[in-house]
Amino acid sequence: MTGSDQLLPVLHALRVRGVADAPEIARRTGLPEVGAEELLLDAEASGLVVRSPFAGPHHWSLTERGAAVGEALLAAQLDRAGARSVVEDVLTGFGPVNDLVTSACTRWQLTELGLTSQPATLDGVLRDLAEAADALAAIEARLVAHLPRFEGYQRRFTAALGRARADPSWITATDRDSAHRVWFELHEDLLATLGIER
Amino acid sequence: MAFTRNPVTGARTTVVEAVPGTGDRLVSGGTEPERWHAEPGARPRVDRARGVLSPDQARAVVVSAERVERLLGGPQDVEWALDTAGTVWTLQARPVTAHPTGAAGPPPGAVGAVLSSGTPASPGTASGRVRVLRGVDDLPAFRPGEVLVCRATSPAWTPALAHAAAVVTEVGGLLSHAAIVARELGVPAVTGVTGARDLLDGALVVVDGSAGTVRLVAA
Repeated sequence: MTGSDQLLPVLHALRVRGVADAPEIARRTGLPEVGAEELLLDAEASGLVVRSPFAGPHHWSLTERGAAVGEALLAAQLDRAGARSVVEDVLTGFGPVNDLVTSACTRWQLTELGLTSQPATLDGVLRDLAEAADALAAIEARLVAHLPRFEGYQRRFTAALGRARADPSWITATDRDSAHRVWFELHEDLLATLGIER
Repeated sequence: MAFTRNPVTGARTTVVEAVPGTGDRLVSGGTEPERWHAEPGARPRVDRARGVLSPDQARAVVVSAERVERLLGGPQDVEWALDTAGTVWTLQARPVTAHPTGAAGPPPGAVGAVLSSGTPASPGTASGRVRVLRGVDDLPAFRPGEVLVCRATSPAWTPALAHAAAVVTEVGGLLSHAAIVARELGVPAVTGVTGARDLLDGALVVVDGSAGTVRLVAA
């Protein structure tokens, strides 16, 4: 692999994670940790990434330039794979499933906050999220057929649901790969891939 | 759209407005929608027919809007869509916000008039200085304890949200990712505030994430 082939996975991992340190980038990209660190330092010198102001001292995030360069590389990859219409079609179908996930997360939060006169049950919320996981399996299969980097969302989402039954904080926690965090990443991935503003 | 109170009289009637295709033409007011109304427990009746919904479809929308009202515990404006399979999707809901203007003056104390309002998205009230962030490159300018104002949030914004007194976004509703993250972090949030980024940097405001308001604190 050349340097520019490795740049996209690093920029993209930061795009969808938001903020990450080198070991996390290495896990996400499959690069060795020292390689990820070097790529991050090169990208910092080029103004593509910065040390993230509100996370740990070793955490990085993209600059606007880094996000734009990442989007250009993603667009080139998308067109090489001939997959633009597939991803556009996936994003269209994503809306209703996204509503299912965000409303299940919201119902659960409002129940926990005591803000609803009709409390949700954990069973009901997890049933909706399991339905979304089934839809996600089909979505991911379509994407991975053209773009292997989409692999893993369904596995991570389902793992979060598995843990949520015993510990419901796995539904919406921000400090781990909760169901909502994985879903938020996938949404960001689809938008970045098509260069669409949120 | 569906309103679980008559928008004019406030009576307990669900009013449904429908246009073919997507709802942006309805929201922008550029078209005369079909209109139905339903008294509690009664079948919906059409007020202005445009050949958009069948009586059963109108009823499905009414039932769905009334579920949203029960779920959220108050009158709601519900944005919905009906797909070709006949499923009603709730896209967004916000508490009915129309009050008679001028009925309530500024509350006692230093808190001034409502500068802007939107969807109450994460409960609680907090005050702080406004910091308008137009993109991730503005993040370093943000100081913990400020009121973070932006268009929408992506995963990169989560660490800053965790340090914000409150969050105000221009787009999104109760279900948006920013709302879910703010509730998770216990940060008051108001979403869907049109023109929020026109707020002045440094202005001292009180954000009420339960009422959906941003108020200026008098100097």
